[in-house]
Formats: sequence, C-alpha cells, structure tokens
Amino acid sequence: MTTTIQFMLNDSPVEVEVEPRTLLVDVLRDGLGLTGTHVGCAYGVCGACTIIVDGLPARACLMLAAQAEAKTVVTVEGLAPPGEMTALQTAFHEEHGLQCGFCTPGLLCSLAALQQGDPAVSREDVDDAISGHLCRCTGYVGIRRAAHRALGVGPGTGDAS
Amino acid sequence: MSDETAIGETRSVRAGYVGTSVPRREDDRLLRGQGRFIDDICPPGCHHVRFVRSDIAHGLLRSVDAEEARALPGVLVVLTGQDLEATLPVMAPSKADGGVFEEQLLDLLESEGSFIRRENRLPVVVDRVRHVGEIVAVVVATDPYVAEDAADLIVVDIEELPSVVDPDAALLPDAPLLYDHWADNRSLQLHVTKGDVAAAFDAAATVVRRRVHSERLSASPIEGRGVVAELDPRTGRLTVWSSTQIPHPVRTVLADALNLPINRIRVVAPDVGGGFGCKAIPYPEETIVAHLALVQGVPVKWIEDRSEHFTASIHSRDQIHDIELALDGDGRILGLRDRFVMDSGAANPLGVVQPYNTIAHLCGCYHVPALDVVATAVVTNKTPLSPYRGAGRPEAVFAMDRILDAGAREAGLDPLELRRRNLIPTAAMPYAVGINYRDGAPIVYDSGDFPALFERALELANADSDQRGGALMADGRRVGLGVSTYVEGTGVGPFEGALVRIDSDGQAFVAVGACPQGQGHETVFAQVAADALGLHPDSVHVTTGDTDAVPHGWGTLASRSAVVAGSAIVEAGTEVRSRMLQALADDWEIAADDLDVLDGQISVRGTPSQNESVAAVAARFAPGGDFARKHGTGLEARSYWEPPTVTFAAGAHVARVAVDTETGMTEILDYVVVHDCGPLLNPQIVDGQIAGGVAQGIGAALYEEARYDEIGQPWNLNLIDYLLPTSDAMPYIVIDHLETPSPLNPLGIKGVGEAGTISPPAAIANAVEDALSPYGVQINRVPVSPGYVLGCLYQNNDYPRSGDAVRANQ
Amino acid sequence: MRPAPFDLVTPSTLDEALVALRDGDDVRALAGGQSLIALMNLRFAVPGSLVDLGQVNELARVEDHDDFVRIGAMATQAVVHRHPVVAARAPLVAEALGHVGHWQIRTRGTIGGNLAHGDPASELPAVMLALAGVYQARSAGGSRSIAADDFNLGPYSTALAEGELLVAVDVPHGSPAEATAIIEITRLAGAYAMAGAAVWCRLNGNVVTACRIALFAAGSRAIRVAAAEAAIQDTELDDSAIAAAADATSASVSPPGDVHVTADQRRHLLSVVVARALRVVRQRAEVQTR
Repeated sequence: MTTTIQFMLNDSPVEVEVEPRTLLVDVLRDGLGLTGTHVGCAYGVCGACTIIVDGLPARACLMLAAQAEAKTVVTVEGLAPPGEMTALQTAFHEEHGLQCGFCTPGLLCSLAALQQGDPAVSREDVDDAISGHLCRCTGYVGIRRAAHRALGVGPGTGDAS
Repeated sequence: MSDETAIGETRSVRAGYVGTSVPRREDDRLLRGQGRFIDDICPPGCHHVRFVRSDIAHGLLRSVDAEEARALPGVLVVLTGQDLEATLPVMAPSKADGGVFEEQLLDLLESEGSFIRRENRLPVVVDRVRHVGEIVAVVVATDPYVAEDAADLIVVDIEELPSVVDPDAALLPDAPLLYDHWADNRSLQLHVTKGDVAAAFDAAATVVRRRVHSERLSASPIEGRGVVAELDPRTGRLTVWSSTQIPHPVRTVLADALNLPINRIRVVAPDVGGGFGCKAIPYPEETIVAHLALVQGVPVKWIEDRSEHFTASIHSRDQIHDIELALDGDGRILGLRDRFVMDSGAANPLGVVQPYNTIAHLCGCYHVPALDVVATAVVTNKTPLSPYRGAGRPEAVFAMDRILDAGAREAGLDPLELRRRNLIPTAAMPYAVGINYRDGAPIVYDSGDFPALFERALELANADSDQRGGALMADGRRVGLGVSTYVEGTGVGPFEGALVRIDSDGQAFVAVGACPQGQGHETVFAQVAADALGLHPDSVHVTTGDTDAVPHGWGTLASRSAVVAGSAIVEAGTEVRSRMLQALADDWEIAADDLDVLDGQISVRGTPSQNESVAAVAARFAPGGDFARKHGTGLEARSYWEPPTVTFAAGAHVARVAVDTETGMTEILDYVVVHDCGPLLNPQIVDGQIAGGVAQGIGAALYEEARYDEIGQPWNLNLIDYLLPTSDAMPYIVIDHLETPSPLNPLGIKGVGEAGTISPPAAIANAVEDALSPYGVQINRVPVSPGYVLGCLYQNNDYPRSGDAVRANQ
Repeated sequence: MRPAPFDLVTPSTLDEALVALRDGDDVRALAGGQSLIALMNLRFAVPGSLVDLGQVNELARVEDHDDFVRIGAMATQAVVHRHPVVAARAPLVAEALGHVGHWQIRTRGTIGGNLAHGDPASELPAVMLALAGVYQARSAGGSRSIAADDFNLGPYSTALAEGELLVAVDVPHGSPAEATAIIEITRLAGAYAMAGAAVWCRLNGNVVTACRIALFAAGSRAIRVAAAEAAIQDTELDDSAIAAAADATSASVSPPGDVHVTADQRRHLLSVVVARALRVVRQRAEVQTR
C-alpha cells in the first residue's frame, strides 16, 4: 500500500511513491539516489543521517518518508551548488575535520542549519551542535576547529597542533 | 626547498612533498556526499541479505523452521547451516590471518609451555551455538525491509547448554567446555621469560602486586560492515566489495571456500567508514554473500546494522593481569612477573597477535632485567576477540603503568621520579629488550629518546604545579596527575605490495595493497610517490584496496601502511625513476647522477637549458619505437617490500583530571601527548591520527565496556548504554613531536595509526588514583566509571552525607 | 533496523485524530517520532497503525493564559526551549530542555511525545511534578485534566487511557517569590541521566513556604520525595536543612541498579542531586531577593 509524497529536495520538487514504513533516509538514498546521507545506527544516536528539514537538523532515520510531505529538505548534496563547496565545507577540508568521512555529511547539515538559522551563534551553541554527532576517527579536534572558524566563534584555545 | 636525505640502507629520498601537510584529495568527494561506501553500492537486480542470529549464548541448534519465511513474497531463498553444508564447496573454518608468524613464534616458544588450539567454527551454525550473534540462518529477498520481515518469521529452536561467561570460571576444572575436543577452555598459552625473575624478587627491597583489568571493548566504527557480491556473466568473474581492511587476504579466503581460482575473484574495499581492527579479519558474511551471488545468479548485498555490529563484529581488550614488580632500594626495577588472562570470547581468530603484542610491549620504555610472563587466552560464550586499535599494547601499558605507580607509592617515591630512574637512557639506544617480537625477530628499539619524550611531556603538562596529588579545587573536586609512556612496534610485515607506473602521458599510477579507512592514503602515498618519481603529487593517482590493481597485498592494520606500503612505493618508484633517468642520460651521453627531476621536469644540474619533461620521456617508452627497443618498454615497477622487523615508535602522555568524589565523575582538565614516529609524512594527518586515537583511548579510560550477564546475554551492547565518547568528552589536547628517524626503511619513518590509544587508560587511571590519594583507593580497572569510583571510595557503602566537608566552599 | 509494516493515517484536525485513535486497530499516536520510530526501527514496538499528528497544527501552540502557560503537545522541544513566554513564565521547563537529548532530536521531538512516553529517566515528567503541571487529555468521547501527581504510573506507563491523547500541559506561572533548579548526573551530553532532581520552592523572605522536590532516573517513574520536602519546609534552606533533605531522599527511595551504577550508588546519587539542586535554588533565591 503506497502513497505519493511531494516535497522540496535540494531546491527541486520531487515526487516519490512510498509505503507508510519507508524511512526518509531510505527514500533519499535508494529512491532518489542521494547516498551522501549515511545510516550509522537507525535509532537516532549517531547522527550520521542528519539532514535539514524546514531549516532545522533532523535525523532522517527517525522520520517516515511520508512525514516529509510538503516540507523543504536539504541533504549534504544540496549544501553547495554542484562542484562547489561552502565556506563550512572548505573549513572542514582545511582544518582536517574529516578522516573516513562517514559522519561528515550529518555534521555539515547540523552546522549549516545552525549557521543559517542564527548568524549570531555562540561557541556554546556550536559545541552543543557538534555533541549531537558521533565521530570515531577525528577525536572531534579538527571538527571543532573547522566549525568554530566557519561559524565565526573564535579559535579553539590550546588545541592540538 | 628540498633536502637530499640519506636514510637507512643505500637509498636516499628527496624530502619534498613528504613532510608537508598536503591537503587531502579524499575530502572533495567526502564533503560533497559523493563518497562510495559499501551501502552506496547496489548493482541492478541486487538482492538483500538478512542474517538470523542466535539469541542464546551456548546451545545445541535443534531446528530452524523457515517455511513461513520462504513463502513471503519477495523472498528468494532462506538457507540454514545444513543447506550451506550441502552447497558451499568448502565448509570449513577460515584460517586465522595473523597466523602468518604464528608457526615460527610457537616453535620458538614451544619449550616453554606455549601452545595454540584451533577452533572449528563454520560460517553458519550447523549444530552448536557458542555466542549470541552467531549466524543460524540466511534470508535473501528483493529488498531489506522484506528480508527483515522474513527473518522475523523464522523460528529457531536452540537447546540451551550451561554457558561460561567469567574467564576465571572458564578455567575451573568443572567448567562447561566450548570445544569438546579440547582438554579445557584455554585457546592458547604463551610463556616468555628472560633473566632470573625468582632471584630478582628474592633480592627486592620493594615488591608490589596488583590485579588490573582492561575491560572488553567494541570497535564501533560509525559505519558497520557490509558486503556486496556480483558475478559478471560475461567474464565469469566474481567481484566482492567489502567494507574491509584486508582485501587480499579476503580474496584468499574466498578462493579457498568457493573453490575458485584466484584469477576469478576480485575483492575491492570501497570508501570504508572506519575500521580500527574490527574489519581486519575475514568474516563468514563475506563467504556467504559471495557464495550466494554465485549460486543465485543475482548480485547480493548485506549491510550490518548497529545491533548486529555489537555481537557479530569482534570485540577486543578484555585482559586481567596479575602483575608483580620487584624494585631495589633505589627504586630500580629488578624484575617483573605477569600472569594474564585474555577473555577471547567464543573464538580467537587472530590467535597470538593480541596476547603476544601485550607481552612484547610490556616492558615498554623501561629497563627490566628479568621478566616472566604467561598469557592465557580463554574461550567463553561471548563475541570473539580480535585486535582493536592498540592491539594488546594498551593492556600492557595499563598493567605496567599501574604497577609502576603502585611500586612508587610503596617505595615512597614520586611516580614520576620512579619512571625517570628506570627509563632506558638515550645513550643505550639501540636497545635490545631480550625477547622476540611476534615476527620472530629479537626486539630491538632501533631508535628513540625516551627521557626526552618524558621530560617534554611533563613540561607541557606543568607537572611541577601543585595541581596534582589530590589537591582540593575551589569547587570541591580533587585534582590528580597521571603519566604513561609506551613503545609501539610498527610497520610489521610480512610485506606490502605496490605498483608504480608512469604512463606515456607522464602521469603516474600507483596501486597499493594497503587500503584506508580515513588515514588519507590517497594523499600521503601520492606525496611519497611524487618525491620518489620527481613529479608533483597532482600528477600521481593512487588506487588502494583493489586486488585487481596489485597482485599481492596485505592490508591496513597494525600501524603499518605508511612504513610498509610507503616503502614499497619508494622502492618501486625509485626503480622507475632510475630507469627513466638512465635512459635519458644514455641518450644525452651524460651520467644519470647529473640529472635532477622535480615536478615533472628533468634537467641537467648546472645546465638548466638542457631539460625535458617527464611526459616527453615517458612517451618514448611506449612499445614499437627505437627508444623502447633500446631501453625497455614502459615505466613500471612492482615492489613487495618486506620490513626487516618492526620499527619502534614511542610516546609519553600526561593527564590531569578532576574527580568529583560525590558523584564519581571524572573530567579531564589537561591532556598532553608527546609522540615520536620519526619524520612526519603529512603533519596534519599524523596529528589527526593521534587525536582520534586519544579519543578512543579516553573512551576506554572512562566510558566504554562491553558487558554481559551471567548467562552470556549482552547487557549494554547498544549505543544508549555502550558509551562512545561525544565531543564533550574530549578535552583540548596538546600534541608535540619528537622525530628520531628509523634506520629500518627508506622513508625513515615509524607508524602512528594506533599510537593515540595506547596510553590514555593508563595515564587517566593513574591520574584518578592520584586525585583520590587522600582516600587511599586503588584504581585497578578501566573504564574508570563513576560506579567504579564510588565503589572504591565507599567500599562499605557508607556514603558521606551530602554537604559534608568533602566540599570546601559551600 | 527497519519497522514492521503498519497503516498510516495523517489527520489534519484534532477531531479526526481522536476518531482515528478510537477506531484504529492496535493504534498509536505518532508525535515527533524520536522515541517511537527508534523503537519501531528496532522492532521493539510493532503497532498495527499510526496516527501521525504532524499536520494537526492546533496542537503545536504555546499560549500564555492568566496564570498558566499552555504548552501544546506537538510543540517541539526546540521551540519550547527558546520560547520567550516559557522563559518568562516557566523557566524550569526551558532549563530542563537543554538537557533533553541533543539539539537534532529536539527539533523534531515534542513536549507531548516525551511526556506521554513516560520514560523514567526523562526530565520533563519530573519537571511537571515540580511545577504542578496539569495534563490536558482528549478522546473522541470527551476531555479531562490530570494532575501531574497522578500522571506517571510506571515505566512507559501513564494515566492516559486507550484512545486518549495528551493535547497540552498547563504549567502555572512562576513568580519572583519562587526559585527552581534542575540537576542531573550524566556521563555524556545527551545520554540518559544516572540520577536527576527538579526542584521548585516558594519563599517568604528566606523561609521556604512551599516546595516540590521531584526525581527522575530514580526507578519506575518520576516521583516526588515528600520526606525531603518536609525537611526543608519552613526552613531557611541552610546547609543542615539541605543535608536533611538529602538524607531523607536517600532513606525514602528504592531505585534500581543498572549497568552504570548499583542501586545503593543510585540512591546516593539521588541524594546528591537533591542537595545540589537545593543549593542552586538557594543561590537563585538570594539573587532574586537582592
């Protein structure tokens, strides 16, 4: 028993057939071919599946695809025009904020949403956003440096190298 | 701009791009969500596998009723162990891969009571279940949702057997046996001695004894495992993508199990979302998925979910040490005795690796004249054990650093001073430890400066300050300082494969058997190749983890890739460059030594007007011309570089912590790492490896432990209760480097992948014990959880009343 | 890691939702999904049908009334966390929300979903006990109010009947004569608390004239500790009164042990969080009276 849902995805309207139980993350990855959003746990803890829904970060593994109806969804592929990178992505690159890259799209979406939602975020807000993501590779050092720089909340003190 | 550096044997490497923080080329695709991880691979017509796993820890498999499951629309097939026995060409235990050095090692140790036993576990359970998570049935369906629905319909009947969960209990004479053909539950025993330990203890002025426990851990990369297999009907070749650290060994296992020639199997590691050792052994899922692709005639895919990972992917650590230290009147170590038990769970696929690494690294940076170590691995009804980042070294360091602190306190010495008196002096390098490494070679610390590391770490941590020893902070917490040092044998063999080729357009192609899970190989190996060939790194394309690209390889684990793969690239690249320059020199009738090559331009030293591009020269090596007929066709070389033995990195960590004695919670205030891995290939990447390792070490020190109940049921194996550190757990850390070059490889480097994990448990436990020194508690295990600290502080459960003088100011 | 099959109904009005909850087969309400979908992905919850409240906009409002704030059940935790009316009228709710999960969960997680889920380790039910919140429930057959003291029955079990939906919670306005605090002991940000206390006091000058001390992560449900409340009643919240409240907490709770701490250790931690919360209340009361 399927229904058709329509929503805005990375600035384009999309229409997909889904079952009630189809998870939004599966529709994005399998139905729409956008595999940049990753599944790390499927119960909302690791944050790898985080996307932006109506301007706010959301776990795509904890949304039914049907709940995306009429919403505006942005995934990592939609953060910058094709072939380009945002200042946030560039900061991750320059500050070595990623190693294996599996948790990275979720982090980028959280931080992009934070940045777009409130130009005057505090470092506390940025660190709070980062704490909603598990990374097993970087020790969060490069991630913090990149996020602090890109969101204009000052350099980390006494940071690694 | 560049230095000519002569290192090691007869090779010299122009240090150019090596040594600089070249930004990672991997980042572009990963940042834009264009990475290609195992779940991103889905050939047309791909079917999905769901494994049904035992929820009983120990039992006899009586029946698997899959009738309803098979009837579910969308289900292609359901297989049991018996079905696989009938169809899988070779239903046999896969060989342990660490076994490459095992035979020699056991021969060496044979006379001293060492042995190893082999388990006989099959990819799918046929009759006996030995841990929660073992595969009892396999579902193949059109999509993963249906596969899971079908799996839910399968009824598995297991007759429970008494399980054995506690490693001490597993060693009792009446313990239930996991493997009936074994005399007891020991899967291996290793006994290593040097010197006269009995005499050392007899002569000692101070003897201390501790029982210390490094708890069981789950590697928990954010991406779990996964396998995709596809048979190409046109070529008859099977391609297997696996989220693995070891494509070539996996290919060998598959060739054996499927009875296929190697030439028909290609194994590829795509982008891998973290490995840390849990993806560094062959797994039954690879064999089963590959087999299904062959017999079902459709591509087949399996993606591990998080719950599965916690019981189906290997665990690690889980060692209990009974360790004793003998000191003379001046606090110098006379001898060390250690008996440790490793709870290996239901199997021990890499055999001697983890326990022998512990033995080999136990003495660390210290001069230990007499040593007696017995390692026993015990099977229990839990997930099997295999090395996880650190691979036996953190456990060794934890035991050693704890007993050193204990010895210091007993002897009335500052723990820092005790270490000073026992660190191997700089002048004593290279230093022969007196026992062998597991590759059979005698352990010799080839280079290093341990006192310098130690003092630098103390300096950076302001160890002299009064913020230690249980001093009371303004908020009522206690502050403590702890230090830990380690050596790390890196760059272990047997070999790594590299193919280096300059194509006729002057661009280079490099393929290595190493494969990354975030270590930046594509960038770092391009730097190494660029320097070896005289090209710009942008002219070098690096391919990793593909068995079709290089015939022989080993994989990325054990802090070896930079050393072994890097050296293979240097060797092959040097050969290519020499041939190229020699050919040009012949044509120009000059000596090849008079030619320089840099960023793709070859020039005569002193005559800059006489130059030629690498592209132009490379083009002439194409077949069918006079040049190629004279100088040989193509510019390609291969190397399967074998290290003489491991080369030793070292480090010192200092932790300063604040402990809240009311809650048992510990906060890390300062953390310092001084590390020596020789010259840094890419400083930014090296620091990233250390930082990531420290975070995992902090996880082990304060948060992570894989727990089971008394019948072998996982107790906390989910992401809610198994606490992986989030960013708030990670303090700002200070990393500094010492660089003592290695004489054992052309790059002069040492490995660094695991370094960060080795010392945090010891340094942090030492710091907590120091913080609690006013209370005289002993911290004998990691993680130092709040429950553990409260248990230590309030042993008779007589808690101080809230608001008592524990808090200074309120 | 994916849910079992179910039917999905997406009403646009409250009345439609209530009818669907009454008539549905093995039916559950879907609020933010941050708890329910996680459980369904693990197949620990296998409802036959879900009623998705996401389009019932009337349930998402936060409204200030004469002496209480009505927080709609579908208001997200993120919105309520930063809501100016909540900050002004019921600051303890805002403060507690900073401890709930992570920001990325709070953007979808709802107040009502959290309260109706009844997780014993959750902060919000204890906050409602401390603030004497009143739960507003509706069904196709009518409506009723449920006092906070009567709402939490056991682990994941509330006073809501089958077919009944939590539509809002009314939180009485605070006043300058009152001070609140919430303290929890958590090993990592966003992880479950090992022990927690939410406290409300009304003071006349320095003297406590009324108080509510509520615990979470204390056992089968959020509870108040009458003996601890009695220990500080009519006192000036001095050190010995606080110590007495802590002791009373320790003496009257019977929390479970778990993989993190033993039962005795949890009992001890509960007394610690009560003491710390009361000290914060005292500090805040002092600031307010200056």
